Amino acid sequence: MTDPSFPFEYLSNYLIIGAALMALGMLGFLSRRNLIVMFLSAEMMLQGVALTLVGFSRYHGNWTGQVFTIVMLTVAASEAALALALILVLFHRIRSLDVTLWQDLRETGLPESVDTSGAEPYEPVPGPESYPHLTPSGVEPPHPRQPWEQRRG
Amino acid sequence: MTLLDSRDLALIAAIVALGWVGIWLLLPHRHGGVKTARAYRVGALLSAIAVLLVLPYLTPPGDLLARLFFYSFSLLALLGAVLMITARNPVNSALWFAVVVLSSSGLFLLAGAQFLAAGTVIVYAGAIIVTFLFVIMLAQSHGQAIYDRSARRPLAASLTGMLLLGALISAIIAPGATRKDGDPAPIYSVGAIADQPPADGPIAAVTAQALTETSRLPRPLEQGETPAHVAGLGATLFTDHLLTVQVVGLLLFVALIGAVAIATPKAPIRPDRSTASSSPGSATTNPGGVS
Amino acid sequence: MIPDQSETLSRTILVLLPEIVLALSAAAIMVAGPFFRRGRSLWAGLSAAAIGASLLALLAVSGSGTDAFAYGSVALNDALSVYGRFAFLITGLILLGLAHNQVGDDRAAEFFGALLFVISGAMLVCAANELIFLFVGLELVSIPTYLLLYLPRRNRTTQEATTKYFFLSVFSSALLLFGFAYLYGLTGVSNLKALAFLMGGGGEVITTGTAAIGSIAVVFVTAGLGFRVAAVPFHFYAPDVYQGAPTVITALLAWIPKGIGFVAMIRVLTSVVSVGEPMLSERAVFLAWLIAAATLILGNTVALVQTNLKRLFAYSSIAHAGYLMVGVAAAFARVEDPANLGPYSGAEGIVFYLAAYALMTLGAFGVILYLEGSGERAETIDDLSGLSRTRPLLSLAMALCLFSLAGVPPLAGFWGKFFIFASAWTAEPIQGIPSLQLLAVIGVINAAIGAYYYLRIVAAIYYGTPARSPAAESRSAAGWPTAMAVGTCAVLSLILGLIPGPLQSASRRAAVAAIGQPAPGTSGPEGEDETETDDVALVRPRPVR
Repeated sequence: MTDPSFPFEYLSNYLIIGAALMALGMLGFLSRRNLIVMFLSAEMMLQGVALTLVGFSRYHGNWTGQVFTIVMLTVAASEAALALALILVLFHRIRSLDVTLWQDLRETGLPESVDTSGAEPYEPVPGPESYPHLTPSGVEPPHPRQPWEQRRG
Repeated sequence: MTLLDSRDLALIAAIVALGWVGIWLLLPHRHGGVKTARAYRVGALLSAIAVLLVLPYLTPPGDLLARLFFYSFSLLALLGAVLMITARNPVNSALWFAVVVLSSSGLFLLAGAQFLAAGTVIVYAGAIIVTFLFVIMLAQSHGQAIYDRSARRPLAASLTGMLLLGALISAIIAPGATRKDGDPAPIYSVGAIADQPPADGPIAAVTAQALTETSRLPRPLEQGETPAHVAGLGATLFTDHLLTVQVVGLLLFVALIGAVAIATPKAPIRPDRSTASSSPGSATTNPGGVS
Repeated sequence: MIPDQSETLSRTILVLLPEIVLALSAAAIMVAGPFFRRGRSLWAGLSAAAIGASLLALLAVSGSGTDAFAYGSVALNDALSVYGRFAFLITGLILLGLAHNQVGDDRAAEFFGALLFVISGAMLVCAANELIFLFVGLELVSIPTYLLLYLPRRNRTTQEATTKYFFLSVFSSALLLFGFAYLYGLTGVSNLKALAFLMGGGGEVITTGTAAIGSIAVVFVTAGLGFRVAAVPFHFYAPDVYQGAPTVITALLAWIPKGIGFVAMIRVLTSVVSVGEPMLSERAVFLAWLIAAATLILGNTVALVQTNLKRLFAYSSIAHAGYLMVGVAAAFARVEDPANLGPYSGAEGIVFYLAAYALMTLGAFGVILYLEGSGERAETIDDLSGLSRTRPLLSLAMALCLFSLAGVPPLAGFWGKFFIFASAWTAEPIQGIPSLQLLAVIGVINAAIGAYYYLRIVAAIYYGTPARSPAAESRSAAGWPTAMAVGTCAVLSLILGLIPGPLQSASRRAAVAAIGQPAPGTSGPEGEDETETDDVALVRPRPVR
């Protein structure tokens, strides 16, 4: 053991938390539909990797894991730059961040993998779904209004 | 191969099952349906129990203060992660992600990675998340869109994620589970060789070549010494990994050009013969679109 | 003597001269793009010149050995590195020929610069000998690829393809990094040769945790690379992205990520796992067995029902990933003595197959591009019917590439399949998992299924009735670089099929170099005896802190 102040048990602390962040990030990536949240979930997977690397780096007593983490941060930053550019362009095109709208390319004859037609109308209930309701004031603007609940984003 | 005893297996199975049901309840409905507040409460309770069940696998490190910080950062990271992936509002997701990043920076500090802790806070919490918030504000229509209120196959996805977590935890704790005091560490470490006085044999030679002096962490400090922390990291970064750093520079360059080229809405005016670039946003114009 | 750091560094820089030439030219082209208002032919020509210069640099440094530095340097110049980089440069030239007129003038500089970056990233992966360096090499391929996918056309289909590829690629990078972290954690070194040496060192290196931690590493690295090579269950994006991307980028995606994925597997996984802990190696073989069988069966059967050419080639490329995974399964099997490989090794088959696959798949996509370039439709199989009447030479090239893809004997694709199946057939049986011979049989059956849909296209070309009016043949030609690229691919497929000897010995040397472990601290492959290493083992004195 290089460093008696960091035995295997401490390493496994870091590995377990890293694995948990990795698995939860994967869960988010697979289940969420908002492009931005999907990307954030992928970044959270990277956080799990970073914890793993730092734990190993300390355990083995060399810098390599930390260097790896720095490189990873840089790569993640480049990917974030591209992701944001891409997300903005996509939003400009379809006015939505919904990833399931992008399924024109698929096997012929198969239905859309996520069927959104059965979505129930939005009914605010008390709780986390609801927003504070403010009394509208002033003159109603002249533009044609469509309730935002009926838009797909 | 060491096998887990039944207590560990039961605990991991409980983590998987509780986490599965809890996160499924917390995730948005599959078709954007409304969930009752009770579903959220039960889900939150089950997820919290699952997170707490992970704690027995963590070994309390160091003295009281270190333990306190370690457990609070760990709990905060795990809870923040659960809340991030289940938050309805992407702004909340980004903020919970910031919580995850900050608490993992705390864990970095506890592992002796000061520079990384600072760097992560600056780069992630300071730059990336703020940019993300900016883009969310730019791209988010007010209120919650249908795609934030519904999830893709939440039941299957949370089962997959939790099964993966269970498998990973059991693989990680398996080597240490049956270890008694005095057994060698479950993972070999080159640090063991590097620390010995000049040793013979091919393994020592390979280790000396693969693990140069600059790439080793500083020794635990004696009283009165100043740590050479960031200097050491810089030394290894610019000797052992110099070429990697150069290639990373190229990556940043490409990403910069790429972001500009992708985000530029219209083709720059240059002598061209053929560019049919449709103006963005004209495909589906939303009458009430607010950006 | 153990070489000191600055010498290692300068030698490594010398070895990486071809990549440096290429990357600097790419950066120069990208920077110059906005300032010089020139057409795309200038940028294409400059890129071709850069690839040529890089080729010259590669020839110049090819003799410079790095065995003495193998355990300390981030890049190697062994046979796998030299031949791999040569292959990527040649195919880069072919891709450039196919791409020369596929982008508008306004985006040409960025497009060709990104193409050069992709090639240099692929070459870095071939040369890499260190986990972090390998990872940045892989990213240097994927980040410009997003740009290439997006730049030529900006319609909705391309954007969908880019989005799918981008998000899944980020996801797969995370999986790959997780695997790399555990691979680093196995011993604490990130140098791959040193890692393989330590794993083969036995004794105290292999401990109770090796199999568990190593399994995590193998599973996640295979998953991360499986996305790049489009192996089941990570294949699902491939048909959509291939269909939505511009054809030349489809060709690039069908070859470069697959090529570097398998080269990285040889570098990172098979060379390390096959010499290490037996239990880990058995698990890895089993994993690769499952992936290979699933990939083969799914790719070939779904390809049978496709009518869209690009989707068909996507499933065919999935099937080819299956054949290559058979080779990976064979390469995972335990090697007792790294200096003495059996008559057929899995890595050898993979390298040979990759070379053949590059030629035949680029040739096939080149034909489609040529037809598109001359204004004809080439989207479905029916569009190709009767092509032999109007374009006999092009039909011949397409037929050669398709026969090679199907694995018909005198062509390169046949020998690739032969070496891979032979390596699986001769592998030692392992208790407790299905034998590799069964996998080879599954592979042969699938090759027969696969032949059907390739031959269907050939039959359509030669015996179908042309759907279009004969007046279409007076259309303009698509440009000589495309034609030359297609011709090169077809002719090389034929030549390498007729004379497989040189390519076979090259892939043999590459496989030996990939798994070989130079004696530590000596400068040549001869210095095997222990006395020298003992002498060398004196660690440099540690400065007092």
